[in-house]
Amino acid sequence: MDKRRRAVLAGIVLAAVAIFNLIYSLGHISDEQSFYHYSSQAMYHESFYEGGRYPDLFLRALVRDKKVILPRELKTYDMYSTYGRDEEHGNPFDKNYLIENDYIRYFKAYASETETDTSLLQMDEVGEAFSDKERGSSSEAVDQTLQGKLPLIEEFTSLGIANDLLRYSFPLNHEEVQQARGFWYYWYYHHFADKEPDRPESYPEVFVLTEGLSEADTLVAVWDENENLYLMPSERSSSLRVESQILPGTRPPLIRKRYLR
Amino acid sequence: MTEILLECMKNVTGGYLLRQAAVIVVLAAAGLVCNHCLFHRFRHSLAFRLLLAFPLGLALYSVEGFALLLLGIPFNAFSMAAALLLTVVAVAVCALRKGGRLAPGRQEAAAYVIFLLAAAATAVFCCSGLLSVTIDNDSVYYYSTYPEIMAKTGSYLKYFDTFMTDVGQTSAVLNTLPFLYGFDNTFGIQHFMNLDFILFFAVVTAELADRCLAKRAAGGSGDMDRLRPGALAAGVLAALFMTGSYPFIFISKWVMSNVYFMEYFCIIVALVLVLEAGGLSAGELRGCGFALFVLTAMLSMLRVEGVVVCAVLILCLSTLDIGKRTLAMVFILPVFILQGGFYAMLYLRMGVDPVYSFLDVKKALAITLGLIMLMVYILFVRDRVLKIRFIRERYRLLVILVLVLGNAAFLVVNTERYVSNLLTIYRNIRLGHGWGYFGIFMVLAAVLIAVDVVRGGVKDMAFVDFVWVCFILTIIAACWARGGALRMGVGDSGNRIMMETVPLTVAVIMQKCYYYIVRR
Repeated sequence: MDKRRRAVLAGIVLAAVAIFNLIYSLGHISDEQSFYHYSSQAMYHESFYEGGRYPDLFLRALVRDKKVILPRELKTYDMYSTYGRDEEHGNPFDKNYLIENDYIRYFKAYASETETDTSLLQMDEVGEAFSDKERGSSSEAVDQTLQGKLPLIEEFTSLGIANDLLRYSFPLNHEEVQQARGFWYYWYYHHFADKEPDRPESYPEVFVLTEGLSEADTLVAVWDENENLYLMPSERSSSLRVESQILPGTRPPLIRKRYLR
Repeated sequence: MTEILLECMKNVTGGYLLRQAAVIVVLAAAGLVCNHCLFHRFRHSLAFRLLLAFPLGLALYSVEGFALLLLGIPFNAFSMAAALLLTVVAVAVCALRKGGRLAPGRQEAAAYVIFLLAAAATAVFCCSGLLSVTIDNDSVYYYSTYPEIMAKTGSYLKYFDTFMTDVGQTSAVLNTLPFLYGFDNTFGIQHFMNLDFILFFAVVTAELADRCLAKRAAGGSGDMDRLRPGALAAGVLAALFMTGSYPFIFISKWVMSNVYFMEYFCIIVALVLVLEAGGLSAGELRGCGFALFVLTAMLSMLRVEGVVVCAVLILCLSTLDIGKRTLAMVFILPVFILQGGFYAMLYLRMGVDPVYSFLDVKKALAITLGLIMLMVYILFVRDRVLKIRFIRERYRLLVILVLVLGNAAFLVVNTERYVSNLLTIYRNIRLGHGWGYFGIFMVLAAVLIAVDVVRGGVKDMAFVDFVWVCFILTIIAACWARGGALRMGVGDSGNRIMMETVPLTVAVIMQKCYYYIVRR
């Protein structure tokens, strides 16, 4: 076979192989892994909502240019007792050290600005206000039985579990404690947390009140003792604030709280 | 609800597209200026100056960012822009002092303007979301969350912990671009790099095919300006073959460091091949030394195993007619400086000691020792052993033998893990986890290489074949050395690293086909 014929034949074969390659690949590749076409410029894709995946991608894009109001100041490791630590099984923490502070560190790192407002509901109060034992799956809005307790609750939407968001916040902790070792932290969320008797079966979730969320300049973030996070525009957060009333003639002052509606 | 969330994301990320596109164009421009100032005007060098502009610009950003962090200089948008600008100015000044002319000729200037306009249009297309991507946990946390934190702190902190030992640091720095310059992902950057690489692959294949044709036709150096149609066809077919390959599509769309590693590795190999085809005189790299220095530095820190792959690559390059000083200064030195500096910071200054990590003190020491030995070998031993005819004629085969022996040592130390990893790699390819039916081409490449070696009388082998074999042996060894067993599935680390061999596999097959066609 002369050189020219050989070249043409080889070219045809190679072209056929290459085109078949392309058709096969494009036809089958989505069977193996999900590929996403993005309509926005965020790394968060709207289809993540269906499986409750990567709520932190949504959060970080959302809060980047916004102010977030938080319910308390950051507390340091030495402010916690040794109660609850389990050195034998590798837990150097009072669990509240993580529960009370991780979201504070998160928003201080990712929001453009943060502010503290201690009149916001604290963790146990949020837990009471938002608790619902029959809460549905992470992709549904919170159950309507909470109406009357807190009108806003039905408008919250779960974006998914906050596990990895919290797990990978370890670099934000600049204290000289074990949390700065990522895999101790992994242990907390994947082993220790699982064994907690009072912990609900599901891991902490991220709930957002979507109405007016992207337009708002200021957001409010509160969370409960299970680290379920609730994020909303500040204009919609009035029902989460408490008024403190000091009764005359009492020492120490008795703080009575009433919820605003 | 998905529409509401999408609307929300669109509202908060308006303007991000143009920012990412602008960053792409700026990096391409920076790389182009450097290439224009430094590249000699060898045959078709304009194409290489243009197509290596963005890879070089991106590598400059990543390597300089890493250097700033290593040195404790504040890492932020301003300092990075200043560093890039200073580098470009320094390159221009160096070129002037060497007697070069900075002002481009009329045709060159036109080509540059058209290139930058085309780059801008392509960047917008790449950032538009029309091309899909796939992401997973590593994409989100190792290659987005960690870079974002790094960008916010502006320095390395020991609290980064496993992020520093398990993530390639130039990958991490590359992914800080969104958080320094006001966007949220690097999808556009990755797609642009992919398109650039595909074009580069086509041009290199065409160039090498053309030289081959010219040599066989005239017995000369092939100095015609235009590429022959056969060579052009070879370039287009090679690019089409590679681009349509299942694992290439997979890896190129996956937001991970593997795609950058694959492309930078192949760019270095291809560029050296092109320079060698034109004849390397006294070890000079025709003005590409700076680019190769930066690209090698980039590659060595793109993944944790990057340093090992670079060391083996340098060993492969030592089989070419590249002078020992050039090998040491251009290829070993950047790897040594970056790795040594990083290990010193990790273990001496910060005392980082994660509970579980890919990299630990022992591995760091072993790697440092290996690099020193490599440097000693290149500077003092290589030239001497090449004087022995038996070794000179079989040098590449002997290097492969050394790698095989290295693998054998790992097999002896932990047989179960080695065999298990090997079987898992094999099964992942055979069952098509991310491979489609491309495994057939891997086997074909191996058979073609074996046939070539046997027909050549078990003497030396073609450079691309040699690099392919060495790369695979290195991957198997690196998978063993990282600890832990590989697993079945497309996302397994060893499986993804093996997918990085796709362009080389295509190059091996294309080369064999081409030699079959043009043989006398």
